[in-house]
Amino acid sequence: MKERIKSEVKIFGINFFLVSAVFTTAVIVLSATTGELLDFYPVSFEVAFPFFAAIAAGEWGKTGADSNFDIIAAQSSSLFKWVLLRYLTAFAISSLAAGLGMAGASVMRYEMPLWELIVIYLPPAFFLSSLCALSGLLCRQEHIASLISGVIWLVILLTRSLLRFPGLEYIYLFIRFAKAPDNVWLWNKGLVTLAGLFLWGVIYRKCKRMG
Amino acid sequence: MRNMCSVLHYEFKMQFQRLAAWGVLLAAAALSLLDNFPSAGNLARLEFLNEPAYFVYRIVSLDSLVLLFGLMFLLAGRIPLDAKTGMKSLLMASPLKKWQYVLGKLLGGFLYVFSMLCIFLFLNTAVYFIGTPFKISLIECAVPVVKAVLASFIPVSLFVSFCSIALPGMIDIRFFYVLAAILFGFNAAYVGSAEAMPFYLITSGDLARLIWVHPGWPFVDMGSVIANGCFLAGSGFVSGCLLFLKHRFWRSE
Repeated sequence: MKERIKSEVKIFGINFFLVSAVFTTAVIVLSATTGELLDFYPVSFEVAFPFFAAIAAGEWGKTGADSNFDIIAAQSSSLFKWVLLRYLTAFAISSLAAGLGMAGASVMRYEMPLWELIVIYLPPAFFLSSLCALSGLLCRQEHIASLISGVIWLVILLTRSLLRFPGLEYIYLFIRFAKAPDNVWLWNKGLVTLAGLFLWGVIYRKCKRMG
Repeated sequence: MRNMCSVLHYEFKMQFQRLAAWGVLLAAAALSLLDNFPSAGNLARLEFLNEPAYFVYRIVSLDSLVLLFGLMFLLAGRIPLDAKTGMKSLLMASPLKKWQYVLGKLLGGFLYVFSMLCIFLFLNTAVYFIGTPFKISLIECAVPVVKAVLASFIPVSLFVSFCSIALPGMIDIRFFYVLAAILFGFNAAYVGSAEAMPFYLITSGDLARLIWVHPGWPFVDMGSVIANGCFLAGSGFVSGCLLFLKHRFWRSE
């Protein structure tokens, strides 16, 4: 297991760590320099970092677009395990970067406790990156997975006004950014996590069929 | 010149055959019609939807952003893909010069983005014109469409195509995605106001105010319009020039 993780990290290459470091540093610097008018934490950790996690899962943790995918699908004892481990490695590293960003930003300014930051970050990041993992498995072309989750991410950002319809506040991905009522957001995060788990159910079935 | 036109023609034709781009266009068109179709509900929700100029303004400033974001992803792989598949080495072994290759790629991308934006706007405006429950003349629709094409689509296409093609030729494509996502995300989340918009917005900058202005805030800050246009066109040109300045990009001539 440890060897597989090491090998995955080698496959990702140094650019993953450099890009993560630059992005995290930029967020920390912005947390110190942006004014009080901006809801910095939801913007950074509910909107920006989850999309970074999706890019990490779709671009560095690519599955179907990997040039060795056919060989792995044919010879691996379990395709699902391979997909899951690659995803988890990419997601864990990007989440580590997000965690460092949260810690750094908390030193610079205080808007909410660290546990709350983790709770607002994890469900959308898990959902978007799982969507990327599923798209990567379904579309063999490079960058299409990021394109799909990127367009969905932008559409969700643009359709904040749809929250006027009752019930949508329970599934809207960026609920704290959209300033929904306080009693809803924890339910929302739970439902988004469930949606992410459902995507993993689809990935599992797809892997079973491919393998 | 002929070589450059061949690269341009190939790029343009090849991009049009990509199914993913048409998928993004259809998704963006569906979203924009859900938001802006002159149905009774939308007309009650959007005060000025009975004005064709407002409809075009909304399509340009909000909904075209989704299409541009998708096209950005598709265009970004053009130069890295040539390097990965060995096509660039083959082209370098031919008499093709660096400027012909780069300019062909950039202009091909520009024409492609511009064409897709025009198709998107024409499609939406045609549906609006046919589906509207009140009478509007063709000229009422045509004037804002022409304004949008000239004032907004040219600089926006230049920015998106040149940056998306040139920058991933120099930096990691994933890093480019992150940078572009931040800019597009900011554009999507920015709420309009009576004051001048930030010059670095892509579609909802003050250039869009040349298409339609809110009757309550009827002024157009020309300084901000020029700044927005200069940012879009200038960033595109600078990105393209950076590719020309990179010595290791092509064989030594």
